[in-house]
Amino acid sequence: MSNDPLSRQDKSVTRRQAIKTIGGALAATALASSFPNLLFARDKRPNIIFILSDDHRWDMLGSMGHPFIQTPHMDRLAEGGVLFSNAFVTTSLCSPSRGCFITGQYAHKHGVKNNITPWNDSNITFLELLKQTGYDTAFIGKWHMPGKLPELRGVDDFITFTVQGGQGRYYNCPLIIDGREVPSRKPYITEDLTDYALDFVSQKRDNPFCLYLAHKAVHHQFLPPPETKGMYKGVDLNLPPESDPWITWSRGSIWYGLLGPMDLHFRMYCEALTALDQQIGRVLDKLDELGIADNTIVIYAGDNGYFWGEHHLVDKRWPYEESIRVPFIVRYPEYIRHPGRKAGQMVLNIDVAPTILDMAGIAVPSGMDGMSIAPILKNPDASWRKAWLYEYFKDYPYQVPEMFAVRTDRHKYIEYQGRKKAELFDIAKDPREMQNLMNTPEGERIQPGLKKMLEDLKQGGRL
Amino acid sequence: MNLVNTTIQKTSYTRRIVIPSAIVLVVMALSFIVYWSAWRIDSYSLHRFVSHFSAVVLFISIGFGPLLVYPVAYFRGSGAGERIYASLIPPIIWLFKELIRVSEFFTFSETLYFIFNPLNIMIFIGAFGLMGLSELLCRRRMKKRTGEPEKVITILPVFAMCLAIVGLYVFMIWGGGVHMFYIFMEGYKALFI
Repeated sequence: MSNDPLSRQDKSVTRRQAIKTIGGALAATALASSFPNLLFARDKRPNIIFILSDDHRWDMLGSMGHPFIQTPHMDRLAEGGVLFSNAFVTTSLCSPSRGCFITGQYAHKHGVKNNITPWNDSNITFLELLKQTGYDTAFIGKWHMPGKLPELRGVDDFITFTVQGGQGRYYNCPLIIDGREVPSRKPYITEDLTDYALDFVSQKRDNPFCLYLAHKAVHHQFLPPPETKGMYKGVDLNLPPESDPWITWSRGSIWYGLLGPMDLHFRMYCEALTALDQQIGRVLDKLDELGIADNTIVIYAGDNGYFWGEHHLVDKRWPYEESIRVPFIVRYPEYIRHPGRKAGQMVLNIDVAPTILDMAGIAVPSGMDGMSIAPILKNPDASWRKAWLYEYFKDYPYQVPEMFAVRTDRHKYIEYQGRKKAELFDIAKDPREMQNLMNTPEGERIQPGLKKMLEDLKQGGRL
Repeated sequence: MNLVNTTIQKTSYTRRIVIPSAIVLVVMALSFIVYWSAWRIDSYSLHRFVSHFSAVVLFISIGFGPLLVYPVAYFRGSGAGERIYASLIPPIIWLFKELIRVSEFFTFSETLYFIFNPLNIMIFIGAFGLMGLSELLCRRRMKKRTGEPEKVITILPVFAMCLAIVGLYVFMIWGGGVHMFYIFMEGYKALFI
């Protein structure tokens, strides 16, 4: 035995500590046997926030190098995560694309093929699967699937709107909460929905949560709040050379409701987008304030892109890049390697559901068409799909033909129903898709392989 | 209406019906072709100017054609019925062209239903309003020219103008046109879904 007093003291303390530890352990065991939830209260699975915007196209982000749009909070999200610069939707239209996000399936499979065919209540959503494993879940915002509002299985809080065919209104939009209509709490819808989202996130809980926050912004009528109104006045909008203000009146575009100068609409779109960014900033701030940012997956995506005169078009639907390409950012500090990078792999709206399930440790159902992007989050060089299927179905009275297309890293081949001839573009050489390679020697060489890919994908194959 | 028959000599069918309609149709066709070719102009400012100009002319020829056709037909001796159908020829041909275009995307019955969309209805209600206005202006001019004590303002042209104003509000201004669009779509769903 040592004569060192410190040493003796240490040993005596150790004995006391040992007694305390044993006593504590016995007490904990006794408590645990009576109240097991107290001992294992904290579920360390990640929280999930999926933020979906409307008509936000891929290049309208500060972090994508846009010349004037201000999106500091989306950029902040990208700096802490991965910005997917090659993200697409498999159908460029609100309702079908939303169906794809929430089910992980193509539109031809989940059944919402356009803005008319109703949502099928037998569809399984990732929210339902998360709920089955103990997640607290909320769907807040734009549902906008045709048919009656569903009794969404697996959703604890369902807050949405039905006015204007489910599109909602930018100002004073009544909400449907648990099946009852209530007036808006805040006049501007983006802020109102964000308030509900923050209420949900801030709730004291033992379970992890999943929030599906679907904004109306930045859909037509592009109304900004007073704080951002006029902020892009005088800015050179840099609209494409083929754009002119009358595109909104021509070739059936009048149905998109953009009467008036396109410049004006585009400025308002940008202002509504910056307002959306500010509200996303509030969500991120709340996660920081609650100290849960590191263990929360935040995914931001747009439901489809938007033409501002490119190809002499407005709106979306067509299979060109401006329409099918969307912003897509994933932040999950505890998981992502090399945050702040851009990933060039072609990710899709149908990948969101399997990704969320995968990262929550839930087996991805075989019926889902998408793939988990988790490997890309871990490894920038992860191998990935080589091609994917784009599909668009008739949406009366909009005058866009049904079509199927295959998009590879380099090419896009489109087959239309009706009188419009097939198109083939080399995206690498011709990113604005101005030169149709069909009936050229190069096109004749490439087309058979792409057509075979398209047929394989239509049969349900993965490439 | 009888004023025309008593004071204006009735010209040939071609002069009083075909030519006024054809003027509007030719303007419509030319402006359409110019608008859709404007993108080929390399100079951006010239492209903008040509597309603006041709689009405005095209829009006027579709929406305001009766303001030309109706008075010309009037002063060439057309009766009321002739003036009306002469004024309707350009929008009907435009509608027919649109139906051919959309038939690429829709079934035959859907294409027929497309006739009843709010924009088409507005074009025709608007045409009747413009015919009413033209009728009043033509009568006023005839009265000044002949000095005969005919009534300028009567119920039918005024009714047509009022109908057009109400139509403009209901189809284009009320909810920015969205409400009528959804009514049209509810009809579509009831018929086709």
